[in-house]
Amino acid sequence: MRAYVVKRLLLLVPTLLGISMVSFAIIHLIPGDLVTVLLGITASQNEQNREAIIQALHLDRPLAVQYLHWLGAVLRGNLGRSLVHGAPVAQEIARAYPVTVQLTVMSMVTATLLGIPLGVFSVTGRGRGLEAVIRVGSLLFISAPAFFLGTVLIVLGARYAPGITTLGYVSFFAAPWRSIGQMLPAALALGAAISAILLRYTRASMLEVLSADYVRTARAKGLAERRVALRHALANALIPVIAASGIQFVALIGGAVIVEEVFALPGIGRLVVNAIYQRDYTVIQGAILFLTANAVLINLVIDLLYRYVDPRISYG
Amino acid sequence: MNDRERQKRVVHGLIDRRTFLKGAGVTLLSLSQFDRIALAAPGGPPKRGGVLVVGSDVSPPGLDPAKSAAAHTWMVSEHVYSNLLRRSPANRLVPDLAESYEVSGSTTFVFRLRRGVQFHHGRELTSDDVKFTFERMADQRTASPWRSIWLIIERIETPDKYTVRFTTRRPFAPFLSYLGTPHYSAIVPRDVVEKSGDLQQTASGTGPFMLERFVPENVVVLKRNPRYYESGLPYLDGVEYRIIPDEAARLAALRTGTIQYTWSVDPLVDEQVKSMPGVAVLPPKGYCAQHTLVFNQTKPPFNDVRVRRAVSVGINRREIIRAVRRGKGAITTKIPPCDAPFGYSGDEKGLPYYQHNPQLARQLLAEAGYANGIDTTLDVPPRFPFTVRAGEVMREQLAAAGIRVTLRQGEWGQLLTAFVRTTYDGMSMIPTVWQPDPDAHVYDIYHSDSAINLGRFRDPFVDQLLEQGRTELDRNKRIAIYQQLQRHIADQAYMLHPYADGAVELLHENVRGYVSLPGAQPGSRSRHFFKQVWLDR
Repeated sequence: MRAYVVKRLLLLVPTLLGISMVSFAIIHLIPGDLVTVLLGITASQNEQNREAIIQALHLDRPLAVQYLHWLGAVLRGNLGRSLVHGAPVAQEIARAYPVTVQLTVMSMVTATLLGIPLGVFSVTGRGRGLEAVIRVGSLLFISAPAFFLGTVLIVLGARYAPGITTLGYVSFFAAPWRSIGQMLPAALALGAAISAILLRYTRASMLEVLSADYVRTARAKGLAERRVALRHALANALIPVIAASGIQFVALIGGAVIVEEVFALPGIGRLVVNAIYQRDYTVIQGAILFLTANAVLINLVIDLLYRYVDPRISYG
Repeated sequence: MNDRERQKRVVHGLIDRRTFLKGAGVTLLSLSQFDRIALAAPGGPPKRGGVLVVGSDVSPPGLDPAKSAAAHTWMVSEHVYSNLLRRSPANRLVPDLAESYEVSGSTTFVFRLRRGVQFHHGRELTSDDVKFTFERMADQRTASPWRSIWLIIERIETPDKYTVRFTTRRPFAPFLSYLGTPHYSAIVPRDVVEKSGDLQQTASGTGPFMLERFVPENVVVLKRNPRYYESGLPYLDGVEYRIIPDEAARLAALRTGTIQYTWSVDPLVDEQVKSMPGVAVLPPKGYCAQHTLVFNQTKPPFNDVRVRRAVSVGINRREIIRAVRRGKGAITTKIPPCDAPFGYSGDEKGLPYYQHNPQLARQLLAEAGYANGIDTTLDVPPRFPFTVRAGEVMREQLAAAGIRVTLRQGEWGQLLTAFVRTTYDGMSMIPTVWQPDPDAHVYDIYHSDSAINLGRFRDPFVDQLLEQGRTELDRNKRIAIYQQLQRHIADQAYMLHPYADGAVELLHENVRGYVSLPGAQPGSRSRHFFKQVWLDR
């Protein structure tokens, strides 16, 4: 077990090295350059100014040299500074990451609270009418993009509950309740789509498990249907749902950018996308490195969690 | 109260042009007295206090006015710093940190500074800070986008604490204009810059508001500078910029009162705002933001003036303005109508090849050897949806003139780089922005020897007019030079400017005393007066 964890952590090193090389090459292959974007369409767009910026940012060195220079600094624990505004990249990530983590966790909690009970209910619930409503509803949430739902929430909120602030970010550590309340609509918008996915997983998995032999045995023992469904069936049905949640969690960390944009949340998705627009190479590199490490570690945690819920899995 | 009344009520709180001009006649009054007279307009005397919350679409990338060419930086920095000169609400240059100035000969400018002006960190402004400000921008290590402008200065002398003498290398007509443009010449404190390296994350100026907090992508908080040199100003306790990128979300925030001021480039925004109680729309003060369409003149077909002229008469500028801007726009040259009389004042009179004429277009193409018309490309940036729409309208218009256009959309950084370096295939079009002087509008993009000559054309006559316009100090002669230049560019169709437009501003009606200058950037307002704003609560 320990050997497994160590092995996975060691694999992180070549993964990060590979990703950093590929991303470095790709971002420098994008047509358009930092200096032109920095100078914008002003009278400033001329050769004298270009030269000064190129010199100041060392952009005149060959790409390989720039990469090794960057790598050397990273190995010494320094992600460098933004080429656009000079702030340390580590500080930028440290500012954006908590916002995204909070949004991700709140969205996943929303998704789980909605998706799993409704998934179970869609199997065990009686009355086909309600079941149909849940199924159509879930389809709707999967299909409607989160930014659409988000915009609807904001506009309806502004019209009918003007006292509630739904935009912008307040630090969780500064004002926990306000922070959660203000982020709730964004978490709902993101969580709704994921809840629909979880609902479908739960439903499919429950249907399968409920036809298993041990469930029949449990029923034969005379257990109440409720107990059969929740204790015997659900516990086993959750394994694939956890896998799906893990994937969604990782995807959200870097991929919530549109919802971050709509709700004006200064998260890491927006940090990366803006850095790409501005060709802020050091910020893009640093953030990609960080997000990669983050994804690898979260996946490791999920794999370990598997083992916990399903003792049949073992990592030699 | 209907919309028109609502709009009227708000506009009453502002200084209208006539009120100002009346005041401007009384030149003996000091500026601060000016401001007060102008503001004793209907709406009662200004009240102190309150925080104005601005909804902004883009976060400033950094706050250093000498290091950022981003309009969203200036939007904040223009309230934190002051300059030697400033523009009055009537868009005239008047002294600001300078109490007075003299021009001797055509290359020497002497400024006498106000005494006792304090930086936000509590030190008095002296002539040394002024000298430092300009030497810093000219220094290659600062990598300032304004460096090339200030290389014109040969030397700066400071005979005493309150006197600065600039000597320029040659006569340079835009000099004073640049000194009155907040982002080109904001005066910064030597000690703070030397300590922090730059002013991207921190700030200390002499302006009406001080930086309290800057959280990128989230919020910029400014608070009142109690030691601001115009006594009694500002009225507000502070200004807060909330960064809300999504326009629908920004309008929702305006409705709830989370923000009290924002802007939009959407000509239909009036309709959306109609249902919001207490929100007024201020139309743009003149059309200052022009679109620029460039031709790759390094190869056929656009190295032939007849083909470029065919495009110029193949597009119907008035129809584009009607279709894309709902009529809210104007005919323009590179120098936009709001800068008339330097530019043309919004119609095509006197400008060759500006009238729509598809027959002439076909004839010109045939003369150039393209009797069957041409196939070409037009690059447009999806970041600016109205530019894409204008491109679509132009594609239809040009098809009728025998010019078959393929529209190509590209990511902004890529498109801008190709635009500046003339590496696009046929044509490329982007919205370009207001500049503080006609010279700044045209010099670098027209000059044969410029690295960013747009389209790569060479014309010695253009170069000659550019040099004349730059060195001629007589205003009327300059006007004649730039008008001749515009006519010549239109005649040769080196580049086209399909239309000019501007952003509308949206504000709550309890926001009083608000003034903006013409020339605010599309999609981001700078050049506005928050120090005179007060909240009627």
